[in-house]
Amino acid sequence: MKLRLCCLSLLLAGACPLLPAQSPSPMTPGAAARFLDQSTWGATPADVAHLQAIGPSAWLGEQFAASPSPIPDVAVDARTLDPVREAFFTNATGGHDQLRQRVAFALSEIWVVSNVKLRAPAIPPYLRLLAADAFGNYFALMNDVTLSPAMGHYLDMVDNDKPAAGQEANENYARELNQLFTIGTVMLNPDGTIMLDGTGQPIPTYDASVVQAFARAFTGWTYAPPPGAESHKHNLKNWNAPMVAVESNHDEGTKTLLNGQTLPANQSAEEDLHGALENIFNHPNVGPFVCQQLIQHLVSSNPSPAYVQRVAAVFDNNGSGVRGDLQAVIRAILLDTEARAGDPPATPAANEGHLREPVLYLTGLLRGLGAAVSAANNLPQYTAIEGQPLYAPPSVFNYFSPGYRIAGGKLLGPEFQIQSPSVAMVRADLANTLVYGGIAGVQVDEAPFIALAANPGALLDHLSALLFHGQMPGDMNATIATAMAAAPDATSKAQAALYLAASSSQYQVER
Amino acid sequence: MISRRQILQLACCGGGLAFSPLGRLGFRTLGAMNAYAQSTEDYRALVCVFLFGGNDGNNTIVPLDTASYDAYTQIRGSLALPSSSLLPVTAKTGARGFGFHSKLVNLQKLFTGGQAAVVANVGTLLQPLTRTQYLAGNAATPENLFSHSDQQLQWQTSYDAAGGTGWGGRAADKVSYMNAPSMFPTFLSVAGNAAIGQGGDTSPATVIPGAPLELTGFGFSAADNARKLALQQLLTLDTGAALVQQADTTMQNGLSDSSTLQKALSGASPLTTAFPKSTLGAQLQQIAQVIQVRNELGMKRQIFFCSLGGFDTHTDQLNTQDTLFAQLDPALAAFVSATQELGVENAVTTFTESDFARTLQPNTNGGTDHAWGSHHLVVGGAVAGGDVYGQFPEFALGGPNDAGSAGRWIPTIALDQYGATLASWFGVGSADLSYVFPNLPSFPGANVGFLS
Repeated sequence: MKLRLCCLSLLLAGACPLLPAQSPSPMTPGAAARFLDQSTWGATPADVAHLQAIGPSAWLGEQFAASPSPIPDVAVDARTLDPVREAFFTNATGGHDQLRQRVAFALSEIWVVSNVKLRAPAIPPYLRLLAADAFGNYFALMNDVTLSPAMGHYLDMVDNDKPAAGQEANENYARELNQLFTIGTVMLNPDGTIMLDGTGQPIPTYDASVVQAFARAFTGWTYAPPPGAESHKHNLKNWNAPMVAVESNHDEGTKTLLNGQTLPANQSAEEDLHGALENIFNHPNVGPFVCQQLIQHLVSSNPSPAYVQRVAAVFDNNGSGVRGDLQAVIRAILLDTEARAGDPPATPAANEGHLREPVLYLTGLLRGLGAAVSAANNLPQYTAIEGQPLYAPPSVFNYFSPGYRIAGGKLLGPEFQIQSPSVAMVRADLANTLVYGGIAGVQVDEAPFIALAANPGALLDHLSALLFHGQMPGDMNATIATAMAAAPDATSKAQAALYLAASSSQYQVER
Repeated sequence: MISRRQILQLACCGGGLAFSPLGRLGFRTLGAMNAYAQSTEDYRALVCVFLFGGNDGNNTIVPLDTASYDAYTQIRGSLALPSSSLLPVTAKTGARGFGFHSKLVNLQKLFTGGQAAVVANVGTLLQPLTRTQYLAGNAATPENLFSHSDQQLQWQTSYDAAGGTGWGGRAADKVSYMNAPSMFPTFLSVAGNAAIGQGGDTSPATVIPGAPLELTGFGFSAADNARKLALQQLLTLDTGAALVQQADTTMQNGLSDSSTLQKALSGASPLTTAFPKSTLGAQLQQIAQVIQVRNELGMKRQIFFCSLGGFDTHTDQLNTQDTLFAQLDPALAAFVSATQELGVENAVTTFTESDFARTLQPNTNGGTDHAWGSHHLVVGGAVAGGDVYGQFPEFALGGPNDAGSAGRWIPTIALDQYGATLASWFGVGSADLSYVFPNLPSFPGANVGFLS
């Protein structure tokens, strides 16, 4: 028994040298469903069966190899991003690259751009960049986003000119690249907790002079010229190619960056950019800072410091001496003992899990209930009214902050930042619309549920398997059964059960 | 002190007295009495308008004396507002001339009419601070200056040793007794969750302007009643999971507060004041509608939160701030008109907050970067208006007010003093001010004097 447990944990860690991959007992349906809720847009019966058949390690391998779902472009003069938002839902419900989509979406909530400032055609190439880089190296992601015209325009690195006398270089990108995308404002311990100095105070990672130095390092970039055309100091907007350097517009002075490291004078724009990104990438904060957030997006709002430290160590070194290997990081997040400890038949720890953000709430229900989603659909408006208009967060600080604490101040609950009491009611209304009304472009086949309605126990077991990893609590089951008993016919019984399950806090919080 | 959640549970378990016909009758009688006694009505409200992104205070109001204006134009360069475009006012103190941004037409009128004031160079501080101290690094300073998220949070929470509460919520903790027996929250946000509103004993209500206040999909059939009851019971199951519990509490508060508000609003006649069709206009209209039914809600003290975003003007600042002030100014003016229509213009004080100011020195993109102390607006009949409170910074890069060399003003009035002035007028007793602003004793003077 001891040997088997040991080997199971080795297998989960992706390295079980002693036994063929399928020897330990396969994941239970509930465990598979829970794993899929952390790694896809929601568990489906087919995916549960497939994951059970091949095991989590092979499943991750399949997902890393899956090519990205298509993201449509919009016309250069398009005034709306809605076709891209609608495609998000067809991809999320039907695409095979589920893990890539989940990770790319998490990255889009760290490396934030927004349709609030960017016009619609800027967004699709940026989303394709994130999908392509989601399983690459974090340094490549940093480099590609830094040179992307969408981010260039969003945080003003494009056409950030060499400062004239009486001016400073634009600090917008320089500041948020450090604060939000890579290292944060204070020094971290390897487990993600805040490092304190001898007087118990946090230690800032940089000061105003470092921000200005990065801003000057990033001067001299503009949009790529059209193919074959000559480049100017400021080219016209071009969302489809990385920005290009204009050496004459680059600040050539010395720049003192993080940890006192300097970029020497008279470097080219490319040399300064590469050096600046390396200076950040090698800062010890990057691993814990980024990994904690990825864990929060996929698994739990309140990972233990030890969990963060284990994943951050993989970020620092994937086992082959490579820093920033995102596939290794994702594997480490999803196969960690803490992520898997709550798999049925065990129960998750009291502080485990995270509130499903509006997008995840909606996709989880659609996939769990087997909805068919058409290319043209009205789904985007239903996340917007819950405070999550797709690709249009209010600022670079995303819809919600990774540091947001729920009432009482003890526990983190990032997604609760947009879950106001009013939005909680809007969510129940969304469940109502899905079950009783209907959303244009969405077909939920309620017939299988209605067929089971004569036997409430069977229907609730079915719902428990689809939406609750088979772990719907007994008192919840009994409460819903009472409401079903008061409903006059099979359809209204089934709908009452669907509505109450979908609107419940137990479903909204993915544990 | 018991929490609102506990009160709700007591009400539920105590035979439902609070929701009985007798209870509702008593409620209505109380409301009628308040209406009768309107001339001596004891009601006060604070309205926070948060300008997200960091509004450029330097171009909100500009001193027009020759020395200051010349220094301003020299440093601001292409971002300097021409004096001919500025809307002139004269501050009572020292008869000093200032000009408001050209889009703040109504604010100029309110200032001249004595219903608006400017509080100069307010910001987050832990103690009074000089440039010498700041550069030497040997005095306590707020964490993560110049960071949006940190400074937004500090403006909303001030110094918060316990964690998790905002200064508006803590003020609500101390005045909520005045609203008894009403159980409607003292703090209400029309702009989503806001850290400023969370108290230690109280939690804020929220309203989405224009959204329905009742759950959809429920009729009056026995089946619908059973389903609604089940929904409410599911919210009370003990799951032992902290985040599920938080989701339950959030929904319970939503159902309870919305139901109360729905009943109160149901008999109200529409306001005649027209509001601009903007996001902020809709938010302030919603606040005015709630103030309209204050007696039906049984409220003596209320704090409201609304917001306008987009002030992070790293590029194209002149056009962006123009557009934003063209939303802010008419919305504020309409709100003032609505308070007059409701007869509460002396009982409602509106004030601005924002992440920080912006550098006086421009950057290379016709914009400005993150700075620190800024000038703020206070509006209402109780404001000792027509004046500029505090000290304007000296416009000199690397000068005595600059935290560096780009014109980032070290605040000369702490957020705590600004907030305590508002809270004192609102009804927080002097003994309770240190609960609302624990760091207030670090500053000389708990009252800036802009409210009479």
